[in-house]
Amino acid sequence: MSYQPIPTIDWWAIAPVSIVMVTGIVALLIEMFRPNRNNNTIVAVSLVGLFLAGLSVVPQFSMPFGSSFGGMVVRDYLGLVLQLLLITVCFVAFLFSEPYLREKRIAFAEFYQLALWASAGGMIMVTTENLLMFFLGLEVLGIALYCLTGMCRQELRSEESAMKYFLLGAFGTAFVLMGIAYLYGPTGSLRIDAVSIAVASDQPHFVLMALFGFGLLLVGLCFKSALVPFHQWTPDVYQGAPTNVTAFMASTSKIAAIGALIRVLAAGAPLVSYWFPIMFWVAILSMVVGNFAALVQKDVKRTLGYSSVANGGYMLVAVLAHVQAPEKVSLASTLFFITGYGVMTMGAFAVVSLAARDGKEGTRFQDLHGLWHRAPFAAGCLILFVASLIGVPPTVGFFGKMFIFNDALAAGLLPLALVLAVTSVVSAYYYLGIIQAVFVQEEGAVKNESGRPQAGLNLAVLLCALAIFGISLGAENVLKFMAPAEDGRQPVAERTVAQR
Amino acid sequence: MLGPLWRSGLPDGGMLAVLGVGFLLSVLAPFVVRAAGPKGFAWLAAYPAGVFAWGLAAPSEVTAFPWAAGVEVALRLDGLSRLFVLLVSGLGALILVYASGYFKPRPNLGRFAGAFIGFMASMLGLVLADDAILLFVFWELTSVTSYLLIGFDHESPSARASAQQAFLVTAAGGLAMLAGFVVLHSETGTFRFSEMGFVVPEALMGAPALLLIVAGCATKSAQFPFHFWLPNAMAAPTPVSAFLHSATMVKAGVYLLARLKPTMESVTLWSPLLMGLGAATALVALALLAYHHDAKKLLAYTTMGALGALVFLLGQPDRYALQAFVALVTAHALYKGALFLTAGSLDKATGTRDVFAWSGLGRAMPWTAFGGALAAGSALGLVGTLGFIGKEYALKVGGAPAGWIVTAAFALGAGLVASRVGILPFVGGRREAKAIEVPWAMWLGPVVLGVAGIGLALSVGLWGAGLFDEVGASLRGRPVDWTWKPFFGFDRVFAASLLLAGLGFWLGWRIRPLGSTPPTMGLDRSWHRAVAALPGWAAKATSWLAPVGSVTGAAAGGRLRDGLAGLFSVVTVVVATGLASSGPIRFAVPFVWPGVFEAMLVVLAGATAVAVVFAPRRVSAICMLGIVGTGVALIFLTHGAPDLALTQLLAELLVIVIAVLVFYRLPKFRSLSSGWVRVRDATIALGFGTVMALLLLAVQSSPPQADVAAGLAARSVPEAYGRNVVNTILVDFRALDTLGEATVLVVAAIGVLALMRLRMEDAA
Repeated sequence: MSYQPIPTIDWWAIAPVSIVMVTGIVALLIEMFRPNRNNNTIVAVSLVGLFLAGLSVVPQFSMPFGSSFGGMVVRDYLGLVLQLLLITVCFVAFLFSEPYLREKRIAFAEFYQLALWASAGGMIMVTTENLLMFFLGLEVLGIALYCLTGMCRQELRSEESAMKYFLLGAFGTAFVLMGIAYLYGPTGSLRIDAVSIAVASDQPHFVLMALFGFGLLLVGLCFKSALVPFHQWTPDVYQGAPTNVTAFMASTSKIAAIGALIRVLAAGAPLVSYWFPIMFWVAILSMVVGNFAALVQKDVKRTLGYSSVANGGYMLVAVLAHVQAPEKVSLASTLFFITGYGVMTMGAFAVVSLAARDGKEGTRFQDLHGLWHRAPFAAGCLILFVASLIGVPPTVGFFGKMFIFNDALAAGLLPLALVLAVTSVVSAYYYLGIIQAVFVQEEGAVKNESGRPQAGLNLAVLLCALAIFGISLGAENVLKFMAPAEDGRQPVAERTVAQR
Repeated sequence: MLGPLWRSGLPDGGMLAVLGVGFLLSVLAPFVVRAAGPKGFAWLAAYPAGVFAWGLAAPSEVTAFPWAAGVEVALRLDGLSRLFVLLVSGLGALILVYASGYFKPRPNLGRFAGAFIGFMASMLGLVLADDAILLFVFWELTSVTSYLLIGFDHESPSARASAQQAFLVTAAGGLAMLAGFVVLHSETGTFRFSEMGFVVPEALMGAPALLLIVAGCATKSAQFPFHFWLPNAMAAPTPVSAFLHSATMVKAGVYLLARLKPTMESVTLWSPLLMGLGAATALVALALLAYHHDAKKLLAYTTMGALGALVFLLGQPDRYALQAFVALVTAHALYKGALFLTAGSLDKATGTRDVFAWSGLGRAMPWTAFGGALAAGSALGLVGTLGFIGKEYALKVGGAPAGWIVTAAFALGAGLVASRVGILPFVGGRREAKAIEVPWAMWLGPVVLGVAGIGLALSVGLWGAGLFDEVGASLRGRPVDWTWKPFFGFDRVFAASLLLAGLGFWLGWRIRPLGSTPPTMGLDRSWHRAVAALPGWAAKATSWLAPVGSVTGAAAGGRLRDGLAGLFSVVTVVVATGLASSGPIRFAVPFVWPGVFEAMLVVLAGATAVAVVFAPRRVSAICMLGIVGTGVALIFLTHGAPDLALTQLLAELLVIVIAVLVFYRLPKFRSLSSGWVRVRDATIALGFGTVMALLLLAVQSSPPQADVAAGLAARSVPEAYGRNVVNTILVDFRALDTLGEATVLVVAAIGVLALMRLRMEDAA
């Protein structure tokens, strides 16, 4: 029996995830020792923890990129940017959650613990090239989200959506696991490059297994990213979940899943001729179905749910352009768009959460009437978020779509560019409906003081608005930051190709 | 020369500043108007006035302002865009002044001001854009702002409907146009107008690009059969009609065609398409205006006629056609704006827009009469007006009689309505005793525009070579040297021109509306039918695409079953297609006859699996599932894998215990699905199972890489000191993964606990 020397451990690589996890545990302990108090301490501790986690990401940008922990953790631009984004999303969600939860009479501390762990799960998903780690991240994220969705126990809608999410999600996860098994079988590798190994083995059965394994993996990921035709859960769950959970879920789940999808698709390069046409149609269908289904919704959260389906489609266009022509198209515009999406979604849902009053919450369009008078600042910012979601220049949304549009043209994906532009214009119709609803006078004009925004919410909204301005004003620098620099930091697709 | 006054001394980035200030002002305008009341509009006029001065002075240039990586704001000031900048800003300034007199203090004026300035800035951006995508963005922005402006009276359902109609028609056209740009990009390789060169006649994508772009232009510029939104848009306040629907927005389509003329006129389809479209529009407009007596509707139809004539002129390669185009664009903007404003003033003074109710107002409203008459003179095309010059050139265009017919149709309509709105209300016997002159702000515009129409015409020899030839250069794609003069001598063309003016006036004087139910002659009715059907159609389409949840979403009452059915059928189809298309598959799994014990297990498990489907109660279903699982575990055992069997058995037991715990609380089984739904579900289930089984068989046909299973088994005892391979994998070889799974379980447990606690607190 031989003992191997203990390898030097790259603590930095797991620091962000660990900090977020531990913060969740600390929050749990606080709740344990001080039950039935208000959650202010927990919020404060969580915010500090998230801030520290964010801090632990920053220095890593200048550290050598590569994998550690036997390939279970990988450090690269994609992962770092998305980790930072996931932390930020969680931070913003915590800022406006407490007032909302109190307004809805469900101010339980479990929200914070579960959300923190969900974030950690998402962070694991985007920083690993090990399929099993990826699966674990997916599970942690998913299970926490199922519970969060059903948190509003007095509403049947919330419970029902949690059940739907759980059952459909379980199948999605099962497909992922089955896919991993099919990839592991022929190669004995749990790494994401199992596909290349199988294809390189040149045995038709291995290729076949890899193909189906990869396909099932994609099914699971499409489910998590809410891409058509695996989007059915999205509107129901978005509508049924408490609004702060919807905001958190819409951003976190999408960011993590798309981040993982980027890695998986890049690793699937040897099989590109099989899956590319399928993903091509998935992108088109997501944009078309998402935007057109949103047109006929009467509920703001459902509308935003379908809008998130459409936005997933836009992101997929960017990813496909990168995979199609990695030498011409970097991942920068994908990351740029995802960042913008996270910020504007958080902002929009934060404002929509103001519809909750006295334990009740209506999220139909007419429930937003008069918001302009109750919360002028938040309503004003909502215009900004919605303008950005439409893609009005010079907002983040505009730049994001513009970059993706250019990428698609550069990669020769003309139909995708066209569908992107056309459906974006269609989307203006329902997004404008949201703004319109906010500015209509309230019927009956009952003055209700309790629905006024609190400091936390205003701060969250302000942060999102500032981020939108900041990112659009500094679009060039942001893009440059996100574009892999020249010192050996290749885009994900190229690196995977190089490893082969 | 009234062209660029001085060619240096202006700082760079003027174009960007014009747009930036405009959009900034559109944000600030509401506050200005809220603070100063309607007077605020006159203050806001400083912006277009400044732009007008800039437009006179700024040098022609193409500049790309780098904004962010890969995105440049490419702007271009040349003859064509300069002419439009001057028209937009000049008219904009006068109409803002007019608005300060037109509006009474009322709520929402601030919003109106913001939208108005926003529209102005978007329109300036549209004509200054050198990048097709940028133009598209501004194009849609003008649609959005005009939606807000037309729907200003948002209490009135008809105003809302008109606004929506105008928005949807023009925005949809904009999409076609964008598609056209992208197709054009595949031919020219650039989105920059200034770098496009020209499309070779034999280019494959030339005609599709042209058709798509013309579709966009036709909706924006109210060409037949998309014209129906324009008369309906007259629900807007008069300043909006005067600005958007005479001089600026409706000209955007014409502008774009002029902009693309050097690039696309080489496409064979160009001439026939544009000439046909323009001629049809001009004739239909003349036919329709005979049915109306509402001043603004009449003006709308003459606008449509003029737009038709302009498109018709663009379709011809003739030099005179281009000269006529340049002169008419200018003349029409000036006189039509003035006539709209005059009509608005008369409406204000008399309380009606019926042109036949206006009579003898000249004495009471001298200034309005003066401005209206000057504008009407230009519209009639009397000697010494810009309208005359335009008509003269249009008649000079050689060739087919089609040109004469179109010009005549346009000129007669313009003359008829001009005399009805600009001359006849002010002569004859007076009917309205109370009418008094409108405030100066409201007559200033018509007077200035009327005087400008005449002054510019008389002095055209002085400045035409400067401004108009520069426009000609944009249209031709090379410098031109055209002659511009206010009068061309007494010839056949002059006689015809005079005849048209006289006939137009006579018609306006004598003719009454033909009937009270005007035909629409377009897609208006189909439009309404389509709009009425849209929500139902969309709901149907999406409920098919998105089976979970009632799509219109009063409650999340969707059926989980449908969602699962969707998920499984997609996976089944994808996997089946994959299997079928990956060539012949050998199912080379060695077949061994099972022993008696094993055969019994297989039969037992299989029969129970079938029986589960028919189980009457949940508990019995769970028990049967347990039997299936146990059967599988025992089969593992017979194949000599006790550790695997043990694990399977444990997992199976645990699942059953949990399932019984959970299902105990659930209601009884109920039959909720109809017969054919069951058949569908059964088909999907069977299909999924079959496909997965086939897949498993296919991949099992060749042994997996040996090191995976054998390697682990071999290392199990020496490295992990364990004989149960499954155990050693779980707690040794992949211990970290197990730790991760434990984490997942803990998260799940805490989540479930939290949910249960919430329920208990609810109950308490």
